[in-house]
Amino acid sequence: MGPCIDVQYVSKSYGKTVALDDVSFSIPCGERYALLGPNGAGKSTTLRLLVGLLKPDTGTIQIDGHEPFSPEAKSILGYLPEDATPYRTLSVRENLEYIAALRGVRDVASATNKFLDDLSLREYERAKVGKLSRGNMQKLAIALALIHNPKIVLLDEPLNYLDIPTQERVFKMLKSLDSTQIVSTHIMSIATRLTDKVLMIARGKIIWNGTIDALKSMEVGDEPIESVVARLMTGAS
Amino acid sequence: MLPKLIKFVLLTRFSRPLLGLVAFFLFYDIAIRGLTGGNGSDFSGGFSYYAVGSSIFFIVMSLLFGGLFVLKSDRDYLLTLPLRRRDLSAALFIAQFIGSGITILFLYGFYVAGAGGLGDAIVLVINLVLLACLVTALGVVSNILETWKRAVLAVLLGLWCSSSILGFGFTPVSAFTGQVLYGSIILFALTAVTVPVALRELAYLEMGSIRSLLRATSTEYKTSMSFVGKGPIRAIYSYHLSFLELMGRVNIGGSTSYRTARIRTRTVLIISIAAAAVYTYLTGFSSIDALRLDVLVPIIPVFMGVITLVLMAQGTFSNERGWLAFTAMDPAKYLRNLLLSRVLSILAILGPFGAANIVLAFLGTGMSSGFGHTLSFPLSAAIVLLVTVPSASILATYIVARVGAVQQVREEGMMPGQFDIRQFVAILPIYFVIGLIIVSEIFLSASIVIASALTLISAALLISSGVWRGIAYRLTEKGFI
Ligand SMILES: Nc1ncnc2c1ncn2[C@@H]1O[C@H](COP(=O)(O)OP(=O)(O)OP(=O)(O)O)[C@@H](O)[C@H]1O
Ligand SMILES: [Mg+2]
Repeated sequence: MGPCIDVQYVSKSYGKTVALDDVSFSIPCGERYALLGPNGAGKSTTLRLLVGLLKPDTGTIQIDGHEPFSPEAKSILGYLPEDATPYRTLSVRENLEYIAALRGVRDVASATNKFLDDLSLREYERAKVGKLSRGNMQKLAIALALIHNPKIVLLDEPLNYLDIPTQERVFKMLKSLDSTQIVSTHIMSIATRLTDKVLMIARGKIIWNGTIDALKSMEVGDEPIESVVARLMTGAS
Repeated sequence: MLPKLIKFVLLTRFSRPLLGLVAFFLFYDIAIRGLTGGNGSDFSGGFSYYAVGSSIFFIVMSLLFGGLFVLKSDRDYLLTLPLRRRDLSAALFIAQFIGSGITILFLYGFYVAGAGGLGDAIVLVINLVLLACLVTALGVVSNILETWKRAVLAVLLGLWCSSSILGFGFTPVSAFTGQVLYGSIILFALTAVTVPVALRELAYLEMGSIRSLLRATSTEYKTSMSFVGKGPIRAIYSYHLSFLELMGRVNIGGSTSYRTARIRTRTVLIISIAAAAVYTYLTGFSSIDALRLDVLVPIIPVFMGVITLVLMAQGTFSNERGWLAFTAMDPAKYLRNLLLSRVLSILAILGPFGAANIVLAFLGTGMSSGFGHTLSFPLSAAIVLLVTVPSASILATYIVARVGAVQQVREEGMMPGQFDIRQFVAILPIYFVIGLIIVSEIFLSASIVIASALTLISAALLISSGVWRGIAYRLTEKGFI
């Protein structure tokens, strides 16, 4: 069986800005990766390409053997962008039901109810999304990304805005999922708690690819893992 | 300090090329006046209807959908600076004026120019400037009013101005029907009352409008939709056929209102049927010939066409969420059905009037005076309302997205970003379609040809999957989430 995510020689520019420059990597099924890199490195762009929202200028991407924009890939991908906002003119419940229906989820009602309870959104069920607090909006966004029980989960800064109890709940939820995951983050504790491997990008290129344990073994003295990461990121530039 | 502040406020809201274009158009209008000179006063007939009708349209629209040209960063930075409040409100008012009121100058500039002798023309130009200030101010004031107050005020002002058509001299728009003196006095008085209110509001934005925008008016929906047991396609239609989403309003620079509201399609349909019944009675059965109410037959399709195009072209994508919709299914399939469902829901407004015109055509009554004895006007209006406008709105939605002139709305009440020339380009299809509507109404044969051509083009567009996948990529590259 091939890898769940396979990226070969992919480049992507926005106008004159080169966001990704000849990137290749592949992620076997069931692995959990943290996507690290300085601001503007190309992390969000990578995720947008994987999920088929953007088309690479050159190179190929395969999601479980399919093109990212194919129905097959769409049905197994779950994606949470950074600063996600759900549909503002729908209520919390309507958002969940609508997206579940669009995705052809078989039992829309029970999927909706499960997430309302799991992320304690029940009391906001009928609330207008435009009026939710930012954190509650993020909870809804996480639920929307996962509502169809995707096999491959791509999350861009998933824990932003969340209160600490909810962060813990989301940690548990993501850990319990039986899926391939890529989590883009700037917070090392999120990377170490959620993932086992690291893909590091800087200036549109992969600069490091390995396990969290390997990163830890590079610590000098009692320096924190953040220092190791910072050294790797700046060393590349 | 003030000039600097004005420069800052304008450049953060409008791109330089856009401001240049605005300046050019203003100059162009004035130059036309200089070149043509007066060509005899003509306050009756076409010009009056046009000027009064558009004034009512702008007054009502700015009251109902008025918005603030305020950026998110204003709230966090500009409004926290130790600025003189008077300077701040002056600068913001100018921005509001450029964003909303100035449209009026473009629309009538050269009409007024040809309207009479130099004296009359000067008075009319002053009236236009006052009207532009009034519309600007009403757009600001509407932000502090609750929805029902806005609606009541809009209806009252609308009726008041309409009465000028019946010869009533004491209205804000009477200058356009020949009552230059009284009209100017009333308009001046009204402007003198509203502009200071608007200025005060702009001076203390963070305590007024912004807070009331952020305040939870009602945090829950009273009626809700359910998508349980529905497949993907049915879900799209059920969403957009249950509720009409109203948002956005095109002005020179794009839309100034980022409030979104959803209204039950059924409610809209009932109101529209009632209005169409009144319309049928007035134009087809009432015998008050002197009022020439049949002039409504060609006017209504133009206004409905504008409203539809605005709702579709600006509103369709700004509330869309690519990360949800385009990853859930093929963007081509999604967008095709989204557009069709929205066009169908807009037929709740257009349909009853289309049907009313068919009734008029059968009765052979509408248009018995004023524009000569021809029965083709109601028939053309029906074709325009039922076929031309829906097809054109699909085309316009495509063009606006294609040139990248749509902005995603992520936060209530705030401008999503700077306006640039693209938003200006995006309103050109609207003028083009208005042109087509007018031609359609004059020649029945043209209306059939135009309607068929637009239907074919929009159908071809909808069928092509590549086109809509391209739009999806384009929106993402433009920063849509
Ligand atoms: N929609 C866009 N239009 C134009 N340029 C863009 C767009 N999105 C990203 N870029 C540019 O592409 C490069 C990579 O951006 P990307 O958002 O992928 O970075 P990132 O690694 O996610 O950064 P951050 O940690 O700040 O989120 C940057 O130079 C950015 O300015
Ligand atoms: Mg990012």
